[in-house]
Amino acid sequence: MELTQNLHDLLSLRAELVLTAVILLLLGIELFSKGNKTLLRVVSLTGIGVVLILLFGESSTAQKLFIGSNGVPLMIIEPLGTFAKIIASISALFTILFMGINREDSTMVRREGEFMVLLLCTVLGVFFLSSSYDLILLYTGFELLSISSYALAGYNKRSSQSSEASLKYLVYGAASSAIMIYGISILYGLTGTTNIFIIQAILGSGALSGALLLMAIVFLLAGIAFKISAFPFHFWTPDVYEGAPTHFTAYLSVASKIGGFILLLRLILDLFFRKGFNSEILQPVSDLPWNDILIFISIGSMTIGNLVALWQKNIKRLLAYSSIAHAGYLLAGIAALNSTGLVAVLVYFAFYLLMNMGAFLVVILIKNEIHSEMLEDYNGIGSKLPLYAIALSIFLVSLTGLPPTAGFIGKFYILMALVNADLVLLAFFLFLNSVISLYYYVRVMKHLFISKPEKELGEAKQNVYGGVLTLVLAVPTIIFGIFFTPILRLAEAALKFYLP
Amino acid sequence: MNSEFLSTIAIIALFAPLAGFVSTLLLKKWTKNAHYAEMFFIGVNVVAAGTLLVMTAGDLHTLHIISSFNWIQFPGITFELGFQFDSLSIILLFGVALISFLVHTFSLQYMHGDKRYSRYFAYLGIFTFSMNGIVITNNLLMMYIFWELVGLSSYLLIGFWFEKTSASDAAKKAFIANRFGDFGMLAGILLVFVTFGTFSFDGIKEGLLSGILPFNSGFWLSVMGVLLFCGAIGKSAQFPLHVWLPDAMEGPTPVSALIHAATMVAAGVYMVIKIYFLLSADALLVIAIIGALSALIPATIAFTQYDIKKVLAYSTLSQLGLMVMAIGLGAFGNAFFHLMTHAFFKAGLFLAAGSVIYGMHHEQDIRHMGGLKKYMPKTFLAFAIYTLAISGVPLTSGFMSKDAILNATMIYGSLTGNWIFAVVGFGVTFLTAFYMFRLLFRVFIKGNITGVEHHISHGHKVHESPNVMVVPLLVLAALSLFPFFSFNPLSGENGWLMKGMNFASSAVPDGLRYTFMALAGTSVTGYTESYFEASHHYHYIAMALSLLCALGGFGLAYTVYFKEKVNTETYKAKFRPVYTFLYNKWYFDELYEVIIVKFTLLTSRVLFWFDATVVDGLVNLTAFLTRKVSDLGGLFDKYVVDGFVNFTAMFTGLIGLFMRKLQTGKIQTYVAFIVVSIVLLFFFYARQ
Repeated sequence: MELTQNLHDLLSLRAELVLTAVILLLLGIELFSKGNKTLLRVVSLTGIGVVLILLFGESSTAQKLFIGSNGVPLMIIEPLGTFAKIIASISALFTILFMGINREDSTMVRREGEFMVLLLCTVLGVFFLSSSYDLILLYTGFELLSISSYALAGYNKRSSQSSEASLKYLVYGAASSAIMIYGISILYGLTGTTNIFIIQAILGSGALSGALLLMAIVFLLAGIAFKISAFPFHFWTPDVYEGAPTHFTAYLSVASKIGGFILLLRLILDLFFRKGFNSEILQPVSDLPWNDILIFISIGSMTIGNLVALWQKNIKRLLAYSSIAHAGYLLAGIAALNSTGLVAVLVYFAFYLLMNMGAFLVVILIKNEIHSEMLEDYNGIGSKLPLYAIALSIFLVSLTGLPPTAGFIGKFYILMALVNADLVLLAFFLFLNSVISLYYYVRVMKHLFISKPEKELGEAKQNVYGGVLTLVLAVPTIIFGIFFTPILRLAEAALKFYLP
Repeated sequence: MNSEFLSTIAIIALFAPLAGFVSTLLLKKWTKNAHYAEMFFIGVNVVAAGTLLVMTAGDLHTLHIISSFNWIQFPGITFELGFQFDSLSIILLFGVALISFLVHTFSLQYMHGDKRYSRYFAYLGIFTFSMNGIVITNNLLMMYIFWELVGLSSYLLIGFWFEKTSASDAAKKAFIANRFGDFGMLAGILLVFVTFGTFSFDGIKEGLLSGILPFNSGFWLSVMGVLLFCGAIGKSAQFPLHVWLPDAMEGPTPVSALIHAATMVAAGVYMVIKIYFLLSADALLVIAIIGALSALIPATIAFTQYDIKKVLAYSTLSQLGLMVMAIGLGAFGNAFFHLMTHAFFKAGLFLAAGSVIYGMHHEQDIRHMGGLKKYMPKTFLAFAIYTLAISGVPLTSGFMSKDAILNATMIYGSLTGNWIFAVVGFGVTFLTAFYMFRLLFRVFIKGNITGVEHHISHGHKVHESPNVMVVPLLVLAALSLFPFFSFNPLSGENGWLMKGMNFASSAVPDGLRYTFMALAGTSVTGYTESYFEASHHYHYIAMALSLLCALGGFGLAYTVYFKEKVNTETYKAKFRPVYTFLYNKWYFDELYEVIIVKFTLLTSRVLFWFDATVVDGLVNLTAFLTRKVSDLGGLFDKYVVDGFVNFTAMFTGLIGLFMRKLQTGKIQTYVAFIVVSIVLLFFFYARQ
């Protein structure tokens, strides 16, 4: 009976199964067809397409899977997890599309299959992070995401910078996840279980408190903060973002982040807080300083990210620090610990996918033409590659959070949540940081449009494929800045089992 | 009626010209024929709008479908966008599309060779898009958005030849005059939102019917109506903001046909018709008075002007005034009827003027024209039909609609005892016939024939325009005849357009209405029985009088300009002061110059004097004293204040610089940071 039930449950994980099948298929193609490029691309893109269709199909269902003898499930398919899966899949889709145009390293084309397999493994990692309700299973997903990412960061084999990035990422990641699993082991020691529901019940009964519990939380947060590159666990970010192949950097900045955020949301919504909202506000199960920790990390991330970004001369490093700052903005939405804040975080994330992916795409496209990532080499791009330059400006304006772009709406909702939660100090910091960030984003535009190039730009020209991809990301960035209700509905639907 | 299907087609109709605008601008770089993209999309617009009209033609008089969605939602406040399908919107949507299409076609030849040819078509596209938005909307907010878009795109079109100072000045003037009006309108819209909590016409109506009044007072309801009407004063160039329209003739002539005859200026009238249900008797009276002034003043100016387009511009002002006056008298259906008929023949008049200007090699002064019938027979034919229509001669569309308005003035007179509007109406009819036939005679039949012949003998060919320009003229001429609006040439009341009108009755509380408007809920049509009695009673009287006036105007023009029995110069000399007054357009521009420009300058001069003597004197004194002190202060300033300012700027950067130092690039340091951070975090929070 239990076996058949488990088999039946396994078949309910349709998206995961399809993804695994695609990974195996890709491995096979890589082995037997000597890496036929077209075939690989068609299979991987169709595979992700099918996965996305399945995900959208189940975007409002909730189903408990693998219910054990103690009556609690091991995994749950529910809308919030599905939202994260969709974000990760879409960014994987774009990453594979970006890969086709990235000309950083000529050997990369020959090893496309390898890249796709690893990339889809990270996606699978996010999928497990999104629907697991057991700490061990969560940790497995976490590691699947991390370990594949280490390899991908060093994918550009010929570049020593890329290998260095990979190694740094590995060491840093290993340290963080070691701390995280230590936190998990403490929790296990305290409660005797790794199942989230049971731990929550035990915490809820008030049987536990004190330093050990705090230690477990801080350790768990260390792992999460590493994944979302939040202060003070952000040090790997600039080095890895700079060294990794740019299309993977784009992926890392979005999909890896959603992995961390979904874990954080899971811990907050299902483990450390009481079920459901008490008049729109979440109540922690035991009196731990959740608010303070989140606010501290949030303010730290945005301030450090923005201040250091002021000095960057390399666009990828600049975007890396901007990504740290954005982790801060997103955390601010969570720190509000109310329903508006959570909706705002999801809305912001959807927009962040567009604008950050878009910004990295333009970086790839420009690098293809001028073979540089340095801002001073961007002088005069505006007249030579107008579409790219205008698109990059749109993405940067959106990242700053100015109307009429999607970024403005996201930031506005987060600010509104903070004001509702009376976190005026945090709101003030968020506003102040936006002002600071304006300076370095606009500086990029100054290079693009105003500064005169020192040397001739030569043969630089825009290509159609790149232009179309840019528009695919840039146009929605504007449209969602004006008409954003559908995304808002989507975010609310994703949280429908949690919202009051 | 399937509202989803309707909205789909409406969306196509609305956005087609925008697609034309975008694709023309995008393609312009690669091909010289980018304007065909705009031509294609304007065609799509006509077809879609036509489909809407055909689909709903059967039940136009009851049609009222709303299709809307929530645009922005904040807790407690929702902004909606949406379409409203009723007789007004569907008919005007098609009218705009058709005229826009004809103007596009005409421009293919007229603008040929212009260095910004494609851009011109793109601008036509965005203009048509904006206009469509105003027509189809179901709420004031969306209307205001498109209202401003129309303002912007008309600015681009009027100033299309921006190298000409007069053109760019005219564009600015139009833009600024419209801002004055729009400011009032915005205030009105805000008042509406504060009062009713919604922008949608239906929502406002519901609120009014349930007894909500702004600040609970009928007076403020009137204020609300007048404020909203301010928007129309600007857009439809009503007195006293009418000054921009004649100047706007600096734009290309087809633009004048599109914007200043059929669409932009019609937007104001259309808006007032849309908000008619919230207009109280007081507000309506204000509107009627403004309309009457706008009808009369330009009519007196028109027959002193020599620029063919200026004459038409003043005639437009006058006709718009008539429409607005009719709304003010409660006859908004008749006003809409005249709006539609006028749109066709006035667009035709402008295009015909364009054809003349084209044939005469950019000559606009009618003193240099004459006897052109010989050279441009088709243009003459079309122009003659339009002239008959605008003068209100039977068998034309203008006769029916103008008669309807005149009838309304007489009804109003008989029911309220106030006959002044009737007098204005008939007076304007007389003047219209006079200045229009003056134009016809001077340009096409008599006039300066010798001058034109002299011109030709010097090798300048005066020629009929090519077919691509003439065909739109003939189409519009055909549309100015009666069968398109009613099969009974004597009565527009029985035509499809008037029959199809959805008579939305007033929602204003009973005490605040005109007495001849029915009490709430007692009549479907919104008027009392006595109104209809009067309407039947005065129908033929009004018709006879209006014919008489038109005939009088024609007769006078015939005597003076055809028979040339009267020497106009002697009369000019005799009535020199009056003539100069009219010729100079009642000195409105000069008046505004004095009021606005001079007053601003004067104020600034007074302030300057005050500044120079009083303030400077004080300052100099203080400065002398301060100088001594400031030597000391300077040091303080230099080292402390400046230092502080620079320090703040540097401080932010320096922190960043310092933080950057943490990013050593050494993985050992990073891992050490992890440990330190964990320990710090833990102890920091464990303390509590």
